[in-house]
Amino acid sequence: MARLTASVATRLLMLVVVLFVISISVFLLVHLLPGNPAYAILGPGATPAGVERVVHELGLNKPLTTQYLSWFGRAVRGNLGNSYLTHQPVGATIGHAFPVDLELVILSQVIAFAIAIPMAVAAARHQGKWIDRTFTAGSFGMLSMPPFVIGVPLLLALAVTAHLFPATGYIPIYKEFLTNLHEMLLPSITLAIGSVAVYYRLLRSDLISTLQEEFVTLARSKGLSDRAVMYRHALRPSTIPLVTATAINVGSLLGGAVIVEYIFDLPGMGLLLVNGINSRDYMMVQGVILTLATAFVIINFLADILYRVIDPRVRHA
Amino acid sequence: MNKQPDPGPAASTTAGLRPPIDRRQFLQLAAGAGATGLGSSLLASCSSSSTPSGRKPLANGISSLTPKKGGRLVFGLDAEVSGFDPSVSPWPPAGVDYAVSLFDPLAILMADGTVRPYLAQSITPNADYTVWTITMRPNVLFHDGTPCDAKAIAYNFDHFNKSEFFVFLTDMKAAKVTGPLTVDIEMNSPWVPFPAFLTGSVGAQVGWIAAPSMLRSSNGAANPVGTGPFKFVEWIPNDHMTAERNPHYWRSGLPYLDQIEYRPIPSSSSRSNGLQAGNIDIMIDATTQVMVEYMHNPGYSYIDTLGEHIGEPSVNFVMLNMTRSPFDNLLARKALAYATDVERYNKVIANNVPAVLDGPFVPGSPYYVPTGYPTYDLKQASALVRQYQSSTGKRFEFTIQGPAGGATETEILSFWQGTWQQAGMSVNTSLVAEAAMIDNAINHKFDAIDWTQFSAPDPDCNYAFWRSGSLANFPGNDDGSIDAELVSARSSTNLAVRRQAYQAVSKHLAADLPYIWTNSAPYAVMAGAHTMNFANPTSPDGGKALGMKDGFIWPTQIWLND
Repeated sequence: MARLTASVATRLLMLVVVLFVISISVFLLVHLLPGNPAYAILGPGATPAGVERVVHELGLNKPLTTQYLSWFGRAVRGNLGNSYLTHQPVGATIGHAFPVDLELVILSQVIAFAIAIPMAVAAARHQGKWIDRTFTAGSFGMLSMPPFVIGVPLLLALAVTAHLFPATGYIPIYKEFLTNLHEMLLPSITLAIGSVAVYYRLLRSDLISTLQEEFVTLARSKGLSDRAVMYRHALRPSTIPLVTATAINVGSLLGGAVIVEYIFDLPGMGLLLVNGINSRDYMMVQGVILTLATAFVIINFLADILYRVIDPRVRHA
Repeated sequence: MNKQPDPGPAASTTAGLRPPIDRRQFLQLAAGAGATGLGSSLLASCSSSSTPSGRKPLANGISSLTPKKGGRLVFGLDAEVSGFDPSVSPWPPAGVDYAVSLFDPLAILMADGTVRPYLAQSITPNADYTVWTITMRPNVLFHDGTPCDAKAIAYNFDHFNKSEFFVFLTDMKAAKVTGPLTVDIEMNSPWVPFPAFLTGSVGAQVGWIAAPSMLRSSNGAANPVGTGPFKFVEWIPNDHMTAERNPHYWRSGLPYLDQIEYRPIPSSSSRSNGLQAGNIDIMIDATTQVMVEYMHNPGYSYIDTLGEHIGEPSVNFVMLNMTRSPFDNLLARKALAYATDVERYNKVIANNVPAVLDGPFVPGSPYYVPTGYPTYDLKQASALVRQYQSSTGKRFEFTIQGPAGGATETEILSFWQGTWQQAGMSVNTSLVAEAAMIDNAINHKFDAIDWTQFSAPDPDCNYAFWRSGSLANFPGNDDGSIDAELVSARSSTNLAVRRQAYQAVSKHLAADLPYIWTNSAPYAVMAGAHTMNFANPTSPDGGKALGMKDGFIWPTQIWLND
């Protein structure tokens, strides 16, 4: 227990360092973008006096280090500043957008596991047979299809033509639970397909390998059924790599979520980021990237902890 | 040409009225989705789409049926705004759509191109048009209950004129309250078409009147308070803006809708999908691909600005920087004009939907005149390129910038690059974020920019963009003849004189070549068949107002036929 606590503490410290480095990188990258945000704020009617005033108001005339320290000091206290364009608090805007991506990623992973695990179990149990070959070929197909290839036909068929699902719009889950699920199902399926293929292939190969371990042979020799061996003895150790894969996958899923947001017109982080970059809304871009990076780092941190909890070999190493 | 609408059978619920679904419906939908099958649905999706409601759509957005009150309209817009303060946030057409629900303009643009008072009771000039007296209607209140009187109007003008952000009112001297409901707007020189600036169209934002309490508030830009037909409820940037019916609206019996929700959906295809799936009731669009899809689709109501000649349309062009090489040289600008195959451009990029231009006005406009603008001639262009290179000793090389994020911008820049290189020019392309592009335009940090501009209720609204030395004269064109014509048009009450002046401006622009004209930039509005009367606004005295100006329509008289 003491080891686990020390390990968690070390990783928490690393987390803080990583986030600090990320904050500097984000700040510098955003300020390297060409173009003055004052022009986006003022538009074609901007005058030099107006531009100067806006630059002064935003503090853009101060040295970069001063700007960074001011922003970072506020950010660690949970204040990400106000959008240059809308003058709305960045934190509140992200508060509306981030749950969209979070829900999209979580739902897509639930769907991916719900499909991939039974597929992998069936394929491992019937290794080399038609079911295994069919699922493996299908997973190749899924891997080769990016979200926009899946999302657009799903949208056209089930929303635009059949009117079974909405094509646009988003109602937060806490406002109308089932309506929200109805709206999020197609985007989540779109995002899940790639994960299904990854998890299926990972779990299948691990299950096949685990089924050849001595402890499995021992379990079989005790007269346990194939089903019992699979679910009680083989599946748990084989799911450990899935935890790591899921954590790593979150980064690419957030990237994929941006495209899915665009296809299904969901008001998530992707739209904020693209609009922020186009209008040089530094505060918004910094806030969005910092939030995404923090989420990614925290998820990986939690995966590390979970890994130790569910795998005794790691815990006692 | 108005197709008489048929009330038809009771419609299915509209997007805006879509109720929350319960568990049973959710499971039925999920089962239905599976049963439908992707393959068969995909085949179905290839066929032409039909309106979900089954009603007959309106050919011109005008309904003669008795309006029904109530309902919630969901309106898909193509852009988001940065705020609602008319003196701070430069609005795209989508911003004017927001504004017309929350605020009222002092004046309204009529279908015949004239301007009449709207929120104002009267707008009258003195003898030499150096003072305009605005008289307000009695008992009009802002949404916060404060009076919309002369003081409020003067405050709006002062706020706008002191904002530093706009160069459009440089000829305005002061706004003086002369009575409880009257305010005098004093000018530095005669300004005849001034009321056009009060119509609130794109580029005429001074016309929108906001409550002084909103303009004074540090958070006012996000919490609009106007006199408009709808009261602000909620704004979540990039998601939606909701407004509800103003029960005390000064136009008796209006509006018809209970609520309106605007959704900024930047992707044309997503907006179109939303309309066809029944999630939005009405949308605006400026992409010719989507226009073509709807203009011949009998399932939807559709209007556009093609063939509209009021004031000046939004036009596409390539803007040249006349303050630096190579386009500080008339030879280079002429070479580029001759090398520009606008007919092919219009076919390849815009499906031949808009009109090809040879000046800032479209054929059919009273201000249009054939300008003698160079037509496509590759041989002539190549000869001019050689002449430029031999006379200057420089290579004819430049970069064209275009807005990053534009749906077809890469295609457009590639087209120009390929076309102009045939004449021997060396052309680079650069996609630039919108903010950087405006910065580049204002500070002359460009060679050529793919640009869209000049939508105006009256050509005088473009005074600041064409006048020599103006900060908004992005190409840096210095032509005293144009300045004289602009002053002549601004100070004359004679339509013939004004017409002649703008025709002369067009000819001077064709000779100076600060702009390489391409085509008009039309806007369209498409709606589900249950969305009634969306292009039929009237002035308070019952006159027929212009249904749509560059994507901006009035929600005041829209109703839902559910």
